[in-house]
Order: sequence, then structure tokens, then C-alpha cells
Amino acid sequence: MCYIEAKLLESGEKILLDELIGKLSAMDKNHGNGALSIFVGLVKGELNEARVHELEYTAISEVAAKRLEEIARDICTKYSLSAVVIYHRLGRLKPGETTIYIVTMGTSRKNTNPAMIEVLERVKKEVPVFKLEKRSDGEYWVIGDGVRYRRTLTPSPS
Amino acid sequence: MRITIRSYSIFSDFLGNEVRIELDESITVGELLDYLKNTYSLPSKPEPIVLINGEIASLDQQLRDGDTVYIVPPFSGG
Repeated sequence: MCYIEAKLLESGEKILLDELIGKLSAMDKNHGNGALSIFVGLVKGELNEARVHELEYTAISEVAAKRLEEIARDICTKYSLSAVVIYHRLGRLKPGETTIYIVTMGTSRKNTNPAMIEVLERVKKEVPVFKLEKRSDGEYWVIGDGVRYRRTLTPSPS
Repeated sequence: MRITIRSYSIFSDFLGNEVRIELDESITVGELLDYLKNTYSLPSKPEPIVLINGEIASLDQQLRDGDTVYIVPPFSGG
């Protein structure tokens, strides 16, 4: 059986990794798991010689939460893992703050490491999350995996 | 029929977060995009992705009364 946890976090919501690791390892009563891989994404403070002041993440929340869970389930099955946890932050984040947490637990690093990387690649392509970069040289919408459009309009009223 | 349009990222600068439109007859996703490009100067790049009620839709998909349509660019999470 695979333990799945996948959710969107508001920017101020704290994650205690030691607590999470303790909870996951406590589920492994027979100690059959030999590896737990963790990826934590961070906001970069500098890009293309510009200073990044803030990233703002938005999402189609109800769709994004469902997709995160589907990805976690697929990856758990594909790599025969015992746990996959994905947390993605939304809202305004400063340089050095965390954006995403991916945790995979299984028998060996040979399955937990590639599983963790595949989760990240799938999240980037399949989960409706969007990024605005606020920099010293202007504001940029980040489109897909790294194409940037300079923001030229102020937002229209809703 | 009534349609609710929600937009994100670069498209929200043109459309706002939510627009409601009323139509006399059913149209396709492609026709809706043409309407939005003409009415709101929606840019053609990046290519918009359209989701209807949470699922990615094709250009020839017919819209129905009460649909919620999401207009978004390629995703950029992670």
C-alpha cells in the first residue's frame, strides 16, 4: 500500500520536515524501506543579471490539487514506492523561501531518486500553476518551463 | 446561454480574473478564443490552453450553458 499526500500550501504555511520524515518512517513497521528522497525548490534571488524581489504563484486550485494527487498515485505505482508526498506553495514568496516539497520513500535510492525527479517534471508540465516574477528590471510572466513575457499591462478589473 | 470565463497568468492582465458572457447560440472553444482576441485584445502568443470544467478542451469542442472556461498559458509550477 502506498501513502499519498498531495496539496497546495499558502505561502506562510509551515512544513516541518523532521515531523514528516518521522511520520513516514513510522509507517514502515517492518523497516523494509531503505531510502527517502527529498526535493525542495527555492526562490532564486537573481536571474539574468536582475534581482528577484518576489515570485507570485497562482493556480486553478481545485484542478491543481487533483492533478498533484493523480501524479503522486501514478509515480507510487510506477516505482513501487511506499510513500509519495507533494506540497506546492501558492502566493507571494521571497528569495530563499521554499516553493515545492517532493518526498518519495521506498526500498532503495534506485527507485526513490528517479521517482522524485519524475514527479517534479510532471508537476511542471501537468499542474495548472502559474508564476509571476517581480524583478529589479520589471515583472515577467513565466510561461511553461522558463519562457518569460514582460508584463506590459496593469491587471484588468474583474 | 451563459458562460463564465476565468483567466490566469498573462491572460488575466487582458481579461481580469473572471468574465461572464451571454450568447444567443452555442459556439466552439476556437470561436470563443477569436471573440476574446477581438474584444479584449487577447495576445495570440503564448498559445492559450483552454480548460472546461477542469479538463483540457479542443478548439472544436462545443460550449454548453453554464460552462466554466479557464484560459491559461502553459503551466509553470515547480
